[in-house]
Amino acid sequence: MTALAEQGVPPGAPSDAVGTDQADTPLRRFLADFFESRVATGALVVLLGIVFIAVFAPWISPTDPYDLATVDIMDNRLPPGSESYTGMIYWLGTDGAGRDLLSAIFYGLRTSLSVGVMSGLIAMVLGSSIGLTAAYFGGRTDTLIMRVVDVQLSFPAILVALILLALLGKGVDKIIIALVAVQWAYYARTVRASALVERRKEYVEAATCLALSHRRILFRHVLPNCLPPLIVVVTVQTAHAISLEATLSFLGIGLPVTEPSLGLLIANGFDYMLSLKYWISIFPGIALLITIVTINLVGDQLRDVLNPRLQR
Amino acid sequence: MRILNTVFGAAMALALVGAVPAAAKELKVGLGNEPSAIDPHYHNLGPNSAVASSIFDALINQDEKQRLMPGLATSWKPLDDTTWEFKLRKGVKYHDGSDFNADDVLASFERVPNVPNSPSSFATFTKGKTFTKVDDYTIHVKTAAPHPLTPNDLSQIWIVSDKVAATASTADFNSGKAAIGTGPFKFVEWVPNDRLILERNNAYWGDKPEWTKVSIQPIKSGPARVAALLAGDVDFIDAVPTTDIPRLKGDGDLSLSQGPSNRVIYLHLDHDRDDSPFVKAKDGGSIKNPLKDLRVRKAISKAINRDAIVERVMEGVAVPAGQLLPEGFFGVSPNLNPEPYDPKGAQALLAEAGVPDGFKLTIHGPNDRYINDAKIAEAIAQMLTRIGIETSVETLPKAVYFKRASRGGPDGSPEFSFVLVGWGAGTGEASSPLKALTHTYDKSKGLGTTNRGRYSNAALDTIIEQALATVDDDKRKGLLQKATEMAIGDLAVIPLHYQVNTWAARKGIKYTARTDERTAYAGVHSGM
Repeated sequence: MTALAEQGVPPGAPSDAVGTDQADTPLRRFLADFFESRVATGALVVLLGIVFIAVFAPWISPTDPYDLATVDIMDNRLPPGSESYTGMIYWLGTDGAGRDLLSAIFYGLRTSLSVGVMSGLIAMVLGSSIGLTAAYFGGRTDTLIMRVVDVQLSFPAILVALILLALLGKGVDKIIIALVAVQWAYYARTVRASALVERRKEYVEAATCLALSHRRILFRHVLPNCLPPLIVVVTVQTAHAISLEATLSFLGIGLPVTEPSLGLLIANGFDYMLSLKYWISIFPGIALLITIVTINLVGDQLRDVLNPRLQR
Repeated sequence: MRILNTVFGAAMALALVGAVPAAAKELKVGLGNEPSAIDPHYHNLGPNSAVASSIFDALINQDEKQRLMPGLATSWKPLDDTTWEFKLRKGVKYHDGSDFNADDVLASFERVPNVPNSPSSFATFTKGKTFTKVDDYTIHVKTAAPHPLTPNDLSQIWIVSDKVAATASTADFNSGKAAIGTGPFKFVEWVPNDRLILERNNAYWGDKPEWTKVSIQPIKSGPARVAALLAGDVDFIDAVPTTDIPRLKGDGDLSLSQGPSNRVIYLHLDHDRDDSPFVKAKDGGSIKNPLKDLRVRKAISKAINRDAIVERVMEGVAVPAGQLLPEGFFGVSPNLNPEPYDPKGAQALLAEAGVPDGFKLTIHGPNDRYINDAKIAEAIAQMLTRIGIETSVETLPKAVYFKRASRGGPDGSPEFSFVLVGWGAGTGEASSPLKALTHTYDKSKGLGTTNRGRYSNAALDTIIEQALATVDDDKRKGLLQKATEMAIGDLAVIPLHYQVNTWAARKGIKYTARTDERTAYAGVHSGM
């Protein structure tokens, strides 16, 4: 009962608990809340490490796994810790084509993260514009857009992506298009829901009375107030996009075989599981797992911190 | 009465206990490649012929080394250069109890070229032949020109009864209504992607198989197939993935059988177009197709380390190839060896051909047809990139790949520039790959039908045609050897390796590996 009573505080109402410190800015309050959780802090550190690896992969990888001129088939399926012809050590072993797995994982993270983030961002921009439009104009526009969203969400994401890729062919750009196509609807729905609440507030009425343009009201006044839920959806959907990309690559329809992402590395290693060459699948799998778990942990904490209902 | 009942019951129980294990013997099979139909005349495809060989017989059957054996014909001989006489086996019964005779043979040959929607027809084996019935158990085959391979051709055609041949559609065969042959097993049921059930034909004219029932389960994924065997869900699997062979060899509860096949894995290059769609200059611009230059083809062949592919990609389970059929088959040249790996020589040849810095190339290959096909394509891309030919890889599922590779381009021309493919010599001798892959493309004559590089060499064509019409075995052998040497000398195709196939079974089950890659259930023995 007490929990319910606490949650009964109307959203947006000034909270006495945090009102004591006058120097408190919203950002500082947000950061303090965020770092309260040790798990989330740890996850964020790990995630930043992964992002660093992904961004600087070409400079920190021991070899270039996509350069066919240096990958040697004679070095394939070596167990972790083996030495190459040139004396280099393969710390995580090599895969079936002779690629250094450590380098391949670094490059794979780069592909996975950039595909995830790129598709997430594009889908967000597209989806939130559509959602805002639907909420602001209401009526038939709203009905039409939201029915399209409903139809889109009623199909499993993987099915839509598979069909699109079958039509478009292989390549990073095509994967991004497919992922945007399956994800925009989530953003549209989220933004519409919070924009509907905002639209009825007095500040929007005031702005309308000032004869501000629709665009200005939408993007400068309504959108900023819809950001908290949007940020949470971005993190969740980015993690989702990364695992979806890995699934598509695992099924062999994502990226070219000579430029494997994590999903394709795992798929390649799957052939060797029964012959006990565990490292080809396991290590990329662990990398994928860590990436998705940390993004989700950070996303969960963001949700807790940004959700006024859970405000302590 | 009661006593009698008890005694009778006890006797029944004893009989059942004693009889069941001995009489009912089921073989459970995990099969890598499912047939596309049960209709034996629908699709000339390895897995289809493999299943058909258990249900149907041909006039001439092939043993595990593809030597010709009497099937529904007990003997055959040429009467003159263009006429063959076949004596048919008497007393053979179909699975439905009807009798076999010459009318069935004629009706089957009549049906072969007329199966609607056949993706790859068996008509190539009946083309140019006229069949006449002499009496109920004798037929004559007349060919337009001398054709010594008539018996080999006819070993590829399965015989069905005349009433089935006249009316049955492919769907009737698949449902079982028309799947009535004379073979060692009777068809019971086929549910595509799920199961195929066969039952022993107790009235079989030849050696009766050991198994009263064969349940075949298609399991496409290699690791899953091996796992099913290890778990005891199936007794016998084909197409054991090369990566798992060392582990399975060490398992005392399993037995493996392994043998070379008649299938060569090779590269076909665009010999025809001047501007080939998947050959580009280093800067991405167009370039005059360098694959038409023998020196470039030689360079590619020298750049490929066949031993490395066999050793590292195939785990030693393959044989490096220097021609179109492995040693021991009729018409194989004794003078050809696999091209040794020589990257320096390859670069020198590229320089000589005027492309010292190489060019850009895309290799296309299937990813679910041959043993390790996608990995081979990737290894070749590595090797060619190293001599300067920047190679990217595109692998496709067989369902789309072969169609595009054969006729995906404009006007039904081959779509790709550089393809990885395989060819199994169904007839078990060298004319099969020579006429299909290296003869000038000529659909009306049924020659060069699988020439996906559109290689054309009038001198070679002449020798191939001459060989096909030479009745004298020694002379024909010489001509086939000469043709092979010419085709390989000019690198009409670049051979990589011969496949070696592996079957695995629960301990005690024995199978003799077949060169035609077929899994013939009558050839599986329990050794008990």
